[in-house]
Amino acid sequence: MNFPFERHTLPNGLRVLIQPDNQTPMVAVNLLYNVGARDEDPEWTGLAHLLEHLMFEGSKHIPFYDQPLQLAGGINNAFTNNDITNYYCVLPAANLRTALWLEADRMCNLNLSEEKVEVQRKVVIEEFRQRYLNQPYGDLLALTRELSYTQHPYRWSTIGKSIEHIEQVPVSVIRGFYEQHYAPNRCILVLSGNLDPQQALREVEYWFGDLPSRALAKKKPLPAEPPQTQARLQQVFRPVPEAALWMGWPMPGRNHPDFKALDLFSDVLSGSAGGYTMDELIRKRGLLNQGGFYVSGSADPGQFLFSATLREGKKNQEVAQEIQAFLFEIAEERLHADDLHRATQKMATSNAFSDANVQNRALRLAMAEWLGGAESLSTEWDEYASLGVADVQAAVRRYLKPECSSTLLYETETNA
Amino acid sequence: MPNPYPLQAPAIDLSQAPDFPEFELQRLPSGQVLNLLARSQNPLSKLSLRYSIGPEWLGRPYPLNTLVQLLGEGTEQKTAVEWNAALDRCGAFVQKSVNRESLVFSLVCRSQNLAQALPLFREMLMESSLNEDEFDMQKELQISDFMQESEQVSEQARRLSSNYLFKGHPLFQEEQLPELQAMNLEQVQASYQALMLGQMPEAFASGIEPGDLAPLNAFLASLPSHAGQETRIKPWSIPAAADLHFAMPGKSQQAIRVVGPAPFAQMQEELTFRFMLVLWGGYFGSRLMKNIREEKGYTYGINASPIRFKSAAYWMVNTQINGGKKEETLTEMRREAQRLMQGDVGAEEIETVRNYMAGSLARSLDGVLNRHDLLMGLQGLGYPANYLPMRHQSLFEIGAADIQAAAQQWINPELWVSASAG
Repeated sequence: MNFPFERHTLPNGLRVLIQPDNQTPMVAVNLLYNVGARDEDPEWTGLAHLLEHLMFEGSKHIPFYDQPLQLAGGINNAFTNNDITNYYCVLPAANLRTALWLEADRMCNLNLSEEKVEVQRKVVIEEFRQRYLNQPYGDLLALTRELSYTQHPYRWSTIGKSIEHIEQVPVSVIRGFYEQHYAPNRCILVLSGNLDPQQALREVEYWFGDLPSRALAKKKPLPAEPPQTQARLQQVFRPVPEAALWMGWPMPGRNHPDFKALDLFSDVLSGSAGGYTMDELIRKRGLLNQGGFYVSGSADPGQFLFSATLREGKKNQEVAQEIQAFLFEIAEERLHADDLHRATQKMATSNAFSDANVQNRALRLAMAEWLGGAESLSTEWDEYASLGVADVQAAVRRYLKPECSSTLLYETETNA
Repeated sequence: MPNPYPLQAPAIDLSQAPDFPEFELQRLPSGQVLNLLARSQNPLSKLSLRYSIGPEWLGRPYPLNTLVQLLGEGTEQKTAVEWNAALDRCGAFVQKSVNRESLVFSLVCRSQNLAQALPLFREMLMESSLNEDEFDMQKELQISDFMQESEQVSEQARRLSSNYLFKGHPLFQEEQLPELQAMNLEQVQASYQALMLGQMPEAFASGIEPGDLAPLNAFLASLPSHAGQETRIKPWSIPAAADLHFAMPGKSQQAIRVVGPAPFAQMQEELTFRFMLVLWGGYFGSRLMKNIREEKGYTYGINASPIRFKSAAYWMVNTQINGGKKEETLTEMRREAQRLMQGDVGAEEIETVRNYMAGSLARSLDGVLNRHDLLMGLQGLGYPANYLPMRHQSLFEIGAADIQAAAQQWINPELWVSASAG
């Protein structure tokens, strides 16, 4: 990243990153809260995401969140994943203050009324239906999580395990979750855009400085996933036009030294139309209609993943065996320094592409800070570029073993 | 100074219009004209070429979609893997898009690699092999996509709506599976000859260093030099109102798509229409979102958007709703339209929409790539160079009576074509 930034920590624990750019008329305000689906009680899953919806329903002093921001010419949105909940606003730089005012108030003064909760329950249930129940392959993600994780809370999706959890979670539980996880000392605030850093810091201090630092209960340690020693296999039949295949192998979390080697390997395999997936699995062997390899990229140990739909007539289990062999064939026999060079060249362009607008830039800074320090953005690419073939091969041998795989055969009902 | 609760709302400042960029027209030594945006802090360059789809290829989406997919999948000199590998070494991407009136190809790379990537881009555009094996694979993938999409309620509502709305119009022949299955390589090769090898594209470049003008000049000089055929077709007009349904048993939700007419005229009339449409359903705080999502909880989202081609303009509302709530949703949509037709809109709501739209306009200028895409899109639709500042200014002149008139003319429920699936 070519954009310098400043870091400050307020006395209440709020970490603030400020990144000026005088070539844009906008400013992005990004708040990353250190809470995600992994922090939920298994009895009440989907809570972090439901709360994300409720954060837009007004706070004690500001009855509507969206309207004042729209009046200031801004947009906003948010997302929740298993690790974090992230909120952002983008608005004309002169109105930065409006975003800070709104965000400061909902950080500690959210209005969680019964009425607002009931409406958002309905909205989230419709989201559940739209994305996961009423969609071909919609349950695939939930099935694969349950197959891959036996202990760690990554075993459920952000939307929740079931509609019943969203329908029935008591308002008192939602309030408790909010009070436990939303506070200045659980948040990273990033400002990126057309601003003067000193003035911006003064504004942040004004709006956030008096918010109380909560004496938050220390996050309870999450159950570690036990090492996988046996391959897992599940077969389901669904009314879909083509069979799908999903495979996963446990791999380290984002900050582990081996993460980058496996991430780079997935790019080599599937990050380009000239990659091995397209050339071998789709073009030459004719196994897949579409699909590829990627990494889950979670903070705790995650998964190296493969997901695809199959060409007509291909047998799911045979393709799964071929995929497992393919990984080692590429790593051991065909991987070349030029493959790694090509992948890192594309990565450099992708990063620059991402940094071309303030919203992405603010999010990248927040994520990197959360993972250990935003300075890593200036050295990250060099670390990828310094990896050699032997590094990737070692990681493949260590993590992508057949006995560590989980395989979901998602069959069409006509094959039942 | 400490900040006492309750917090006071800060003052809003939208007094300053953003700087509106314009393409600088550069006539290169070869005689080619390049629309050029200045270099920015971002290290990327983007070069876009827009090819007009002449009358012969209008309304034939399958050969054109396949052509777009096949470009880059092998050239006369390189296999698909070799060509893509060479492009990867430059850290470059090619973005491809096809709409009903044009094909656009954009090369994106770090500026330092532009000169190296241009010959590959030219190879893709001018020397693609379009071979039988690649064609067969692409056709199979498109059939696979078609079948996958057929399972989605939103896609079935879209097809149902389009088949009714655009039947017989040359711009909008709707895709059908038999036509896709019948497509052959000769059609794709013929479209390549006519559209890519037979006409000079419009060129747009951003993030270009002065030293890159020479390779750009050489690149553009190597493309065809005669202009493409201007497409003149009869303007589309919306057919009679209808309420259509496609049954998909077992689905827990229904998709609804409602379409109505939109103005063609540029500037003030169109801006007023867009303003009214945003207020009705075009942003998170819109009437439809507040009523149908935030108050009733029938849907995860509902959105109204304007669609604009050179020869057609319409609006559409899309939503996916709780399966039992179709009639209730349509009733609320009509109610909100009628409220606007009766002039039920206050000053505060108008101010919110105005400021939201002014902010959106400024946001579309954030970053050189956004500016590039915005300006290229506006030019493609024939908007004048001063469109952006005029649009900004016009936002501050629209009042309640304008919104009421626009609603009466364009979103009267008696004119709607609604299609649902589920």
